[in-house]
Amino acid sequence: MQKLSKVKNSLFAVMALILAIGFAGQASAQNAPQVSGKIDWGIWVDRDGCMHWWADGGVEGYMLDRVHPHTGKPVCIKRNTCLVQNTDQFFATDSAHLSHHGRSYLQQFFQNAGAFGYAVYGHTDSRASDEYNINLSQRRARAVADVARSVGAMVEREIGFGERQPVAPNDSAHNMARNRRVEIVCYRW
Amino acid sequence: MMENSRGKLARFGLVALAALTLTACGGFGTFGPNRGPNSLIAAPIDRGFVDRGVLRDGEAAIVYDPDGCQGWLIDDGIEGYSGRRFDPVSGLPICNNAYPPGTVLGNYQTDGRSNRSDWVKGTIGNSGGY
Repeated sequence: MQKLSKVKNSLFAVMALILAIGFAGQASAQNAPQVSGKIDWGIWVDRDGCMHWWADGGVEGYMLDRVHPHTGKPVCIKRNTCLVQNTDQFFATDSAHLSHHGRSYLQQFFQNAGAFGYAVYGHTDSRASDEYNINLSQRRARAVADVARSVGAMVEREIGFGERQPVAPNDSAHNMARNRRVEIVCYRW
Repeated sequence: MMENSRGKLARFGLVALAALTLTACGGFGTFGPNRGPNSLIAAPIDRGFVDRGVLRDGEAAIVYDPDGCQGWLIDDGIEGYSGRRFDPVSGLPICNNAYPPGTVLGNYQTDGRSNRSDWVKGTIGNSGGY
């Protein structure tokens, strides 16, 4: 019986020690900010397809733009890309000179798209150097943007991404053709 | 013993009443005063009397900030929300200075839920596009 109480006592001692260490740990974490509550976030999707976190606080409203933790870019369901065209129809290989067909196609597109502004993005496949491809895609984006301006459309930005934003791995002729593209985003009210 | 438990019951009643009153005083919403780490500050549903419902995708006005960049603006009746407008492909903001800073374009009030007058309206002059 006595033995049992000894065991009990030492058990209590160990527990007290654990508790003490626990409290000490808490004390050392005193610099940590105090949790004052929690927010249950919902998703709201804007007209461009980009997501925002939102929550209603009764009288207050809260909203945060949803971003990719690694890139910082917004998280968007791509529903507002006006035009994605394979550039083979517009340009000869290594050329930024628009074909007759390409020019009239784009003229018609910009005349009818009806947006207040446009973003023109050029992309290539991974053949040739990164620097060369950036340059080529920039010249191609400019050629497309020039057509837009020629019909009175407002170009908000024109960027050549070269081979840096592929939509498919560059491992087949088909996939490389998919990567050779011009993307036009329509900014609408 | 009997009295003690009766006292407890009475105290519980008082606390319950106080809690009820507080909730009712919340008036438009259901979130009471802060009750510590587990208290819910906000949720993606409006349980208010005036602005019941959730935000509807795509329904927002466009507002220009002082840098000439666009944002989204929503008024659900009681609360206001705003978020940045991004190009969904490049992730860049849309900034064109097409209107003066502060200009609001389109309907920022969620349909049928906000026809009360906005107190601040008019104090910054004729800046609205609505």
